[in-house]
Amino acid sequence: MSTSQTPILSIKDLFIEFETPDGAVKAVNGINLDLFKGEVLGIVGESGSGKSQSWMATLGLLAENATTSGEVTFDGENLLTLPPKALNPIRGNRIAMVFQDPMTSLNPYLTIETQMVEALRIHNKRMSKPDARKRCVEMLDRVAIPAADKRLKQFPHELSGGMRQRVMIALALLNDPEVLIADEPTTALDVTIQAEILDILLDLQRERGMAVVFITHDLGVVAEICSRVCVMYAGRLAEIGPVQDVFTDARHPYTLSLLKATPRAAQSQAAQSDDALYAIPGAPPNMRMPPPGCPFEPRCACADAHCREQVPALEPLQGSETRLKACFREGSSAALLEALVHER
Amino acid sequence: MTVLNRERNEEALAAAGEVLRSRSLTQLAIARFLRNRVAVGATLIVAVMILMATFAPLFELMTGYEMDFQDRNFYSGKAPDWDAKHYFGTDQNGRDIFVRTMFGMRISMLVALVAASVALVIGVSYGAISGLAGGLTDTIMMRILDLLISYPLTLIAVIALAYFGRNIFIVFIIIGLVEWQIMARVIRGQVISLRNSDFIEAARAAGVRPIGILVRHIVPNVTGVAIVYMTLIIPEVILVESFLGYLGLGVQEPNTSLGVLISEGANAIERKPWMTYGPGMFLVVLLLALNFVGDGLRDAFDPKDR
Amino acid sequence: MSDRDTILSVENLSVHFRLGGGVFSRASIVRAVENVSFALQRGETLSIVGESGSGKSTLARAVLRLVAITKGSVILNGENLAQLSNNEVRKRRQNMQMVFQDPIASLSPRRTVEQIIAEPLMVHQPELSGEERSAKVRDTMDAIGLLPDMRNRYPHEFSGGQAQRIGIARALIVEPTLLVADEPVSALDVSIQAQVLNLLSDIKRQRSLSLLFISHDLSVVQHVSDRLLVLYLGHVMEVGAAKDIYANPQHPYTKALLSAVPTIDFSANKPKRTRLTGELPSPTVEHVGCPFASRCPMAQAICNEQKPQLNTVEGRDVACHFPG
Repeated sequence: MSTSQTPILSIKDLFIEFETPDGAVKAVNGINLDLFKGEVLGIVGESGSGKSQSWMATLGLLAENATTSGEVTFDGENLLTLPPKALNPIRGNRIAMVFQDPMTSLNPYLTIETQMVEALRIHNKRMSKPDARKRCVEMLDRVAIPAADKRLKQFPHELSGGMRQRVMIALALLNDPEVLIADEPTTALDVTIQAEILDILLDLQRERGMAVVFITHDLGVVAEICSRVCVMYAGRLAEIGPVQDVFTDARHPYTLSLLKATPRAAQSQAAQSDDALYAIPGAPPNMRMPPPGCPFEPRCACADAHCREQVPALEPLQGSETRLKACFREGSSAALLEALVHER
Repeated sequence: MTVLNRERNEEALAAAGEVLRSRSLTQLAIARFLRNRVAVGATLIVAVMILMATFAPLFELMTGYEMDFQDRNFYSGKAPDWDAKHYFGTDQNGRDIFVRTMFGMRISMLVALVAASVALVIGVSYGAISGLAGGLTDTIMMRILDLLISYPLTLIAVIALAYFGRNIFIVFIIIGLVEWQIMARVIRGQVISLRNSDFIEAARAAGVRPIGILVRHIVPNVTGVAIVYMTLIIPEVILVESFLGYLGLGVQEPNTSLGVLISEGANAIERKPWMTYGPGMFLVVLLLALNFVGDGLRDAFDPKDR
Repeated sequence: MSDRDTILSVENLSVHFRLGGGVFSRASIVRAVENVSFALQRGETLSIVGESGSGKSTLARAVLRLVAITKGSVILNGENLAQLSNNEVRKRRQNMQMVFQDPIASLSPRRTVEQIIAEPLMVHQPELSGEERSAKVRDTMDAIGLLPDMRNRYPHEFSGGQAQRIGIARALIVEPTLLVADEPVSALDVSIQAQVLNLLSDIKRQRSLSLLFISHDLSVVQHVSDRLLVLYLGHVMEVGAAKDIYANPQHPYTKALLSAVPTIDFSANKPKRTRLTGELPSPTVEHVGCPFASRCPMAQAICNEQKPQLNTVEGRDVACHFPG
């Protein structure tokens, strides 16, 4: 979990807008984020937070009706402005991505072998077929798929969901990427399978020292495997910091509300069944007409008029280099909690 | 603790500026259709042609159709002559072909409407029942359908017309009977996919009777598809009628249809090629426009775009 | 806990499906639910927990007679649903309603909210006039926290959370005694999940409703359950009071399941995760021994030979040769 000073990937002032017949959807509204070598960065957000879109943008995977502005700097280049020809050697090679639904991410008409070998040979044109095959078997072994040799000849539908996701991870890691972006990779899996996949991911990450971006809505998962976490709401960053700090000492009302709304077994083993969960009132905002001020303000128990008018900037906490929040409220986590509880 | 802290919830929702105009799926589809310029253009063309067909008698007055008919020997078989207002020329009876085309369109469109409606009613019922029933009933019904499809149209038409005589409505019904099979298949497919959807299961769980499910839940979700296929069946129907007309099995004199006109023109094609131009052009434009309208409707109703 | 208070009694319920089978191959039988028994008291929430392939959704639908029951009985309000005709069951649906996993998909897309919520009333209380129906719809929407001007809108215009509330309103308008919720919050964001779960709890209390809660998410279930039933491959593994099971799980599968849930716990003495090996066995094969034997970290020879019965251990029923 070491971090070095220069980020391996840097996002600056990223804005993403989608043109729809009913108006423009402002999915991402100004994100500044650094990814350091060897860390596991968790991106937490609910639907509409823009968490997936921001990272799809780095690999140029956004839909046609998207307009982006800002910079995504990787190895001195701005990925957003690179033409496809220059982007392709990076995609799947130096930056790889794993998606949520392995069934639709794998081509159902091709064998596992064909797909894996293709991924290898696109970036290693001189590799011979037998060599490629050997490497694929190695990778499948590494992600704990039994009888890897036989599995290569199978089709995606012959594997279980957990196995398909493992194949996806193997595919992503074939070319030893420096950055792995995992977009909700375990959301569709059973909890016992999820546990295995998370273990595998962590092992592989430690072994190769690659940076991992783990996008999810599940706070428990973030707590288990991430070193740093980034909370997003309505296309903006709410809070960033080391996982333990943010989760035990949250400073943004949204983070705190989310933690309180998360069912208890995910927080500790002891809980009462009569405890009501804290329910955040209202719903995420309409991204066609984002509110002028802080996007969380309509649902925030601590908000005041100032919050409605101005967007809080993402700023470091007092006396901390590693923690940032975008909120006008100062004060400890306990004080925020008081305000939340009293609002009820 | 109170349920949802409802006031807070309402405040929060209002503050989020949830300004939504309520639009049903049909309204959304219409909006989407209107954005499709080709489809809108094609609709206009079809509308214009319908108008022209409706007001066919007016054209008659304009060209002095009746008068010329008296001197048909003089006027017969004339090439298009703009000064005399015979834009498409005249046929061997001295009748202005343009006017004939207008009247012909009337019949063609009437055929389209009646035959397509026959196809719609029979097709939708058959398909819906087959799809909902499932199992053995469905299999039997589909095999009957296969049998019917394999029978040649011409044979059926000839036999029917020989038996019933060349009544104009018989012609319409025959054509409708030939076209309903496609509709049946399409509707059946749609019903089968609907049958497994969550909201149908929810209706069953609520205790709704099968009839209720059919009428309230299945039919409204099938009309979209039905309309789209109607607009695709109509060109086929017109073509079929033209084909029958070409064979001499269509409508009788003095009524005419586009197909009959083209047939007459085809007979004289070496010496008087212009006789096919007018009706042929109108037929082609009508069919093309209808196809574009059908495409536009299909895109508009496509649920994936929602 | 007298017998009079038992709303639902499921005994030895089995649901088998035939799959495939043509001219050249024999059909295989999917044993989705195998010999499941449990009882539900008035005002109680029993959660049925399992992963994919556990048969929990099939079980829920079998209880409501939405799928055919192969063996066993489902006794609701004194009547065995398994022995009634389809039409008789249909009439009794007033007492047993369901809430579905995908909120928007469970609402008829071309009907307004008012029509959707009013439909059960139309079916089961046809004597009501249009006005009386509207009034009832209004009241129910109020109780669930739905704004009145939503009445004329269409399902696709709502978010998941609101759509789920509409589904709940539809289920509750006929005042059933039993509510079956099939993964009602799985498709919702965390902040909305909490709203819907709180809503369900409150309503349950207000109306003395019995709730059968199906879920794969152990953390969600902890908040709503009085009792818990753990299902694996259609077999009951453990059933008992929720508090007890969470504090001290007895069945190896329950233990593995609980330990696999990711927790926000940074303390040094966090319990280590139990790792499961192997893959889920095929549901078409009839199991001679315990269905969990192939993945159980504690499996012995007897586990493959003899299916464990439900024994009472530490105040609950466990199907294991080596509980604890």
